[in-house]
Amino acid sequence: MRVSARTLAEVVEAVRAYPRLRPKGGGTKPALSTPREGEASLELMGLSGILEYHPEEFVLTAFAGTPIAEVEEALRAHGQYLPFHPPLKGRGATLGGTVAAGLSGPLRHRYGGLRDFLLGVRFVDGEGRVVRGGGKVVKNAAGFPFHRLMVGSLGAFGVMVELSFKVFPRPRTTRTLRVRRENLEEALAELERLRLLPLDLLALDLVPPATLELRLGGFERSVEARLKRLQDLLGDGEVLAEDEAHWEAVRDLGFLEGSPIWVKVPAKPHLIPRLEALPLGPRRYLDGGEVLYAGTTEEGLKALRETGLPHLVLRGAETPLFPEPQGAFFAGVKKALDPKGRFPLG
Amino acid sequence: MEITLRLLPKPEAYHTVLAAYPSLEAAGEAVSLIIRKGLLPGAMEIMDRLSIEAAEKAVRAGYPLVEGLLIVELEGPKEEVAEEALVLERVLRESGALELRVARDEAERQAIWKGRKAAFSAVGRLSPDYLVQDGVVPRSKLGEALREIQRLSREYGLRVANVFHAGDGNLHPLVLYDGKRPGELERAEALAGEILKLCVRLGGSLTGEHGIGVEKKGYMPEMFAPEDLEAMERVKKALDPKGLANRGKVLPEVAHAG
Repeated sequence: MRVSARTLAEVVEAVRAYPRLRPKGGGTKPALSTPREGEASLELMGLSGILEYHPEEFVLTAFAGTPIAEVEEALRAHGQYLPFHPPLKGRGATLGGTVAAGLSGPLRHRYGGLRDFLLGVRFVDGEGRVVRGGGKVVKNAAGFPFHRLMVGSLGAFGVMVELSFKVFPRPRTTRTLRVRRENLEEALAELERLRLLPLDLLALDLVPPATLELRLGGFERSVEARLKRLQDLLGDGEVLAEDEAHWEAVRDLGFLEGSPIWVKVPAKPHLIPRLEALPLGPRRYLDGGEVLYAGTTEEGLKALRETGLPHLVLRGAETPLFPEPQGAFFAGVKKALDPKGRFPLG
Repeated sequence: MEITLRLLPKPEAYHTVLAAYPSLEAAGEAVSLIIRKGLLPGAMEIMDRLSIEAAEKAVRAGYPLVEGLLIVELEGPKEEVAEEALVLERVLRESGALELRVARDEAERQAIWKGRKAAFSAVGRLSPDYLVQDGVVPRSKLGEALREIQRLSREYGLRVANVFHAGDGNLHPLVLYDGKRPGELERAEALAGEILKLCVRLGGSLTGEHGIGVEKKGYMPEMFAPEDLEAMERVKKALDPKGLANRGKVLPEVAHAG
């Protein structure tokens, strides 16, 4: 069953009309957006468009179904960007889907992830009530931050209608250095060293088994000098010719193409050896080893589940979230905002 | 029970500049110019004449006695900071600053920060009592907000000193009063409340960093609709059914009716 909503009123109407609903934006994360038995698919691509954008305020507000690509184009015209680097932009991801999945891309390394850049939300809760949390200014500590609750909620608490984000000036120039080490152990030692230095890298990725990619941004002369300094520090390395195209492919998770299952795993450098022992497919650790995006098969997913490490499947599994939400906090918030269990994770 | 924090390496280099302006508006306009150039300083702080005077009395920071003082600090890798500093210097030269001081070493950097860091407590030198406020306006509304605060200050017959994080529109008006004079505390609270309502009216927030609390919860309906407050109330009840956790500090009484 499919129902589409293009306005706030239509979202309210849909929520009141269907007992079980699953919001869907661009459909780039089918494990999250595919309706289950008995659920109606609430399609929100029509709930789209930028509502407010004042470059000088560093704030942008848009409908939740707005494609990331549209937002970034508007920002780029004013030399700005979304520093948390939403993934799957090139595949049609929307703001709402990105927030619901709680995803950030490689550039999150510099200024932080999605949670740090989401300022406010307007959503429709499970009873069809319109609720606002947060605001439209870069600093705000008033009231319960419902917007933060939406990050990674998988739509459990409500249908997001409007979202406000903090944005930043875009780096004028970027350069990428790729360095190879002998083995995983050496690459991890290098990663640890780099994490502790005040280099202000835009991105610091580990591509197993032993490749590191470092991206720098800033004024042209400074970037050249810092690149030279990094090369001295690391003993050479290859400077990528296609810097922008490379990172666009990475954020679109192009390296997972061909894998039946796509999974995101919150990692930590000390967990990497454990994760590397699993039968996973193509993969990459972002943000200095803080998060892993991996392609895998049923076998790999099973092995990952057996480790007990939490993860989120974006594509290729019936149960996306592991472990399933538990504890009094989730249950309490769910009861307050979606008492009838209309939305996912009911 | 447990809190996890993300830590970052300390910046490699700083570049700290103090700029003096003949008016608060001129200092605010300088901030807009800096932002339009695509710079993202780690700090942009503005002090008005009253807070400069207070800081001078308290710690003798050596600030020029002007209407508006702007402190800008860049931070990051040394090569990047050096490039940004060139842009910043050009902007500040064009911004109509009466005086520019660039910290040449850590001691001079600390000297620039000394008065700003002492400003809140220093206001105690000017007045027996004062209220510290914390509100936010969209950055482009800073000038309007400050003019309106000055007008309210005259209307209520109470001095207001302004110290604020200009980079993010976070105001910290300090309302000076004498609690021994009958009615003056109430007048100061009413004035502070008017400032908060002004922040919300301009599209900002009741608090930028210090939270709501008993003093501000009554203003929550200015910023949030009844449905928003009722949702907060429901979440609070679901998570804390006995109402044991810091009750009565965030949500206004009116929300309970819903």
